[in-house]
Amino acid sequence: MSCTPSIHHMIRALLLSLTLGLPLSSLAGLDHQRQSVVKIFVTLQQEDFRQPWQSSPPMSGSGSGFIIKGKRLMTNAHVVSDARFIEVQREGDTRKFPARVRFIAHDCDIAVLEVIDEAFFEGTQPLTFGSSLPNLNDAVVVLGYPMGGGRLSLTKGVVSRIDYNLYAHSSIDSHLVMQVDAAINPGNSGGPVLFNNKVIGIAFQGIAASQNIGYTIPLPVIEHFLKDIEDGTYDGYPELGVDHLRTENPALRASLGLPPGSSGVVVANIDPYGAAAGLLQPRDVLLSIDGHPIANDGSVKLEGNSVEYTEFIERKQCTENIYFTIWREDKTLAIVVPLKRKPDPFIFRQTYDEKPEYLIIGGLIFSPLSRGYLATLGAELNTPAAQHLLYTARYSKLDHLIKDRTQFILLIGRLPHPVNTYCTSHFNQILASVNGHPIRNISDIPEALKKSSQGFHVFRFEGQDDPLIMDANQTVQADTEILTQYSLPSLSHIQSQETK
Amino acid sequence: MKRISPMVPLTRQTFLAIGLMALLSLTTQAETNLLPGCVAEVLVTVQKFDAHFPWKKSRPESRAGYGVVMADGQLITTEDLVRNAMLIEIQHPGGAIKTTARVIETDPRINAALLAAPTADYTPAQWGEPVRTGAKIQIVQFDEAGQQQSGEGRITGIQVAQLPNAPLSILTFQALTDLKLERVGSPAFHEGKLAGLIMEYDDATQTSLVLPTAILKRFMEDASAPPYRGIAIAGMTWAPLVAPANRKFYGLTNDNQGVLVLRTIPGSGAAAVLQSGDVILKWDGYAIDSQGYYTDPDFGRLVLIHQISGRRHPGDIVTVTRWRNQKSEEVQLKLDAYNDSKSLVPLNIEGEQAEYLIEGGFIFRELSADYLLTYGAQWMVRSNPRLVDLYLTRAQSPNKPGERIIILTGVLPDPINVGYQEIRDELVTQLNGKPVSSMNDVFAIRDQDGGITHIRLKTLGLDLVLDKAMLPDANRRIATLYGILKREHRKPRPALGPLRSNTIPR
Repeated sequence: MSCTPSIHHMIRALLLSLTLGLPLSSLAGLDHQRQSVVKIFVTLQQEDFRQPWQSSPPMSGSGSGFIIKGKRLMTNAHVVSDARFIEVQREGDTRKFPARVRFIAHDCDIAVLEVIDEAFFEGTQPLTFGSSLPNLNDAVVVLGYPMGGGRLSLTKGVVSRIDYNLYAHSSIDSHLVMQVDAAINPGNSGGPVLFNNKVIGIAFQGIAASQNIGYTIPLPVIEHFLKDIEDGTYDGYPELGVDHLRTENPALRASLGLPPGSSGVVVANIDPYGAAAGLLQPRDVLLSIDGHPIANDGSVKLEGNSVEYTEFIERKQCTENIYFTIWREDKTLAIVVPLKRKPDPFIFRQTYDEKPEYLIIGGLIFSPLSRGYLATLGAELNTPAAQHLLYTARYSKLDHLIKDRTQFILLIGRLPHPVNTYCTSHFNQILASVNGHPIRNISDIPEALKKSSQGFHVFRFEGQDDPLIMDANQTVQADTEILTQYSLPSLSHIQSQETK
Repeated sequence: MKRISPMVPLTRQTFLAIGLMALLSLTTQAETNLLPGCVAEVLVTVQKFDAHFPWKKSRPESRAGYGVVMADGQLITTEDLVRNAMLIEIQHPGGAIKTTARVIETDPRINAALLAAPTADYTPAQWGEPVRTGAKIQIVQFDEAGQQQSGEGRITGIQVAQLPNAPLSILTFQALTDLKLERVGSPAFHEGKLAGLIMEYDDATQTSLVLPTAILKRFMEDASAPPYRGIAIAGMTWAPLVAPANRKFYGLTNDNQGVLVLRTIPGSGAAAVLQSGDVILKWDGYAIDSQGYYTDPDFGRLVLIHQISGRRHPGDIVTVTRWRNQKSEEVQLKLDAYNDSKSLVPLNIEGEQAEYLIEGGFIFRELSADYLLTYGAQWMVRSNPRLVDLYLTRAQSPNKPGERIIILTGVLPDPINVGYQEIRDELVTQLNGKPVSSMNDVFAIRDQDGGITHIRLKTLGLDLVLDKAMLPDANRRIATLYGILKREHRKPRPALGPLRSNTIPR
């Protein structure tokens, strides 16, 4: 099954018991590596999904990064997300240098920075990447600037586990993760993990209330990112968009007519926004991927290891192909799936560096359903309207809730004014139509407002029988007053359709 | 009547010696003429069905509360005291002799129960007249020795409110008392006559929730003359119509009158004469204001709902003034009985055993509110969002009569269901290729096909398949392994069909 989004707060980095770094004198051979690990100072402003016209107050944060070839720095995406101003500092240097984001990959939590003044790189050597992942129990070193002091910290540990896991930054993407038992604390994020003095991982997240569990982004994910940006843009991981069911049950295999001796997983659902849409269909049995047979539990033997078949897609870039042999209607077929990533407004990935869209009419605030908005609901999650939003976010595709929409528009709040005194219901409900015009996305609202129905604006919401009604003549005047009273920069922020 | 000084310690023996004479308040000095000889301790042994594993029953537990003798051989108490009762016994407070009681009628919608028991040595209480906010009441309970504790109280609020997990709102009183109440069913008296029964007590605010005589008396009259008619509904939802813009939109220029009809339940009395967008100006002779209140002759300003369910019976016809197309007209609306079984997602407050079928380890049942509540206080966030949403948005709106949601609650692992064992709480749309919308359908398909072998879940674009040849053995094996006495539970059904008739003969 593909990962289903779960709504929880992002774990950026979590507290572990503090472990002091080893004395630096015992680290002969790591001198130049130490020189290349930098501290990143960030001033950031997060978006306010409740009051989308404004951002949070400026906050400061810090993380770690390291110099890679081409006079660039590598760090985590979450270190520099929503940044207004970034500075970098080398160990032992008092100067801070302004930097800017060159590439940012929210789906795998990696970013590449440029330093405006190249003098920053004088006397440094870029870190080099290893050629393969270490094995379990191999000793690794984590460098960075965690809490507890100002100078570079070094912690040591071994590789404990390599497995798929959720990347908390986007809240929905899962990739390979390398777990180490070296102490990783807030501030370590973006720092390198070294094996034989070469980078094989980036420290990035932990688990609250756990001990000696530090998560790092392993080499294959870093390599995937580096290959992706070779053409000057980051495209992201391709999405196959297949939900599968294992075929361990003999009766299921028999019903699919699978010949004895063959194995594979059966397609249960196709995501309309995935690469497989139109090429694969439910009941197709995926027999092999890129020439490797798929077992009934979805595993594939690869270089002596047993891995999930989805590992093959993980390793590919958009524009590459994936080759399946499938079993469909008692025949074996070869299917080529050109991998791609279609913009998917209904995946509800956490967004950064992007102002939420909104529109205010008569003091009523409308904004699209987003993960960022759901995360603000808190105690309101125990209300029927919020539950309907959670359901919508999770099942919009499977239960065909989308219809011809590209967004679900919600009434998220009200700026009190005499014009909306009685508009105190319908919060968190999905706007169905305005003045009889169906609302497919936020851009539909201004259009629908042009034609009032007999002097009224009539807002109807999904599943609700009582409309919200406003006197159309009063709203324009009211909004002028609301704009001033509540110090709004604008009554709306709507992106053009092209940039979506 | 004899007054016992609180200074005289009463032992159990002395109490028994004076029998029913130990009548009066130990804690208040107020003179009183009430008759505690009407109060019985009700002791109940309860065993609930496990809504999650419907073939199982919970460990028996005991409950204790009070009931009030209202007529020879009849006691009233709160329904939640006797819900799922295996055995009901009554005794004089502090007494030793227990007598078995049985249920004549219960209605979980209004939390009322009528019990039958020998009551020769009790003195029936009298029904009180309706009381208003500010009325003084006396609440009675007994200590372990059977000594009466009586507390002074005052009615602080009269409102139409929803009882826990109940589908409808009913008239309730709030009372402030100086007595820490220990059990449900404690009677409240006003001028020596019954004013209501305590349903809940909050220690922090010393506030109790009282089921008023107005509800209890109607219930007892109804229950004493079978068939029980139950609580009346109109079959619609409505909303206040306060906003001036909305009033103008619906063409109302007048004063502050009328509420908006939102939706009518197909087949109901409301559906016959009202539609979405109508405005109700008057109900049964009373003007309804824009917030839905009217002036009740007994209780003052109350919500319209009490007009429907508190003053009328199912089958009654009421005159409604509706506003439609800028015209006001009078129409006759026939009230229906509330019937949980007509819901898409029944509430099953009474905790009846759910119908279920275990086939090849797959546990099938209908979605109900009591099932969702097995997920605890955080059920909304802990159970499947799809099931929660169906309950919250469509519980009362089946697409066709008798429609229910069939769910696969889980899979009891066995070799026959390998590969499916992690599936739980999924919505079932088809069995053996046929659509299912009730347990009736499930049993019918099983009987017709000799087993369920193809299961389609809403989540998956293909059937889960079970080996038909393995099924009989697997069913036996699973029943033995998991200690399941009955692999299915099917309620007896009336010959006419799955639903009771709308009309209540009287």
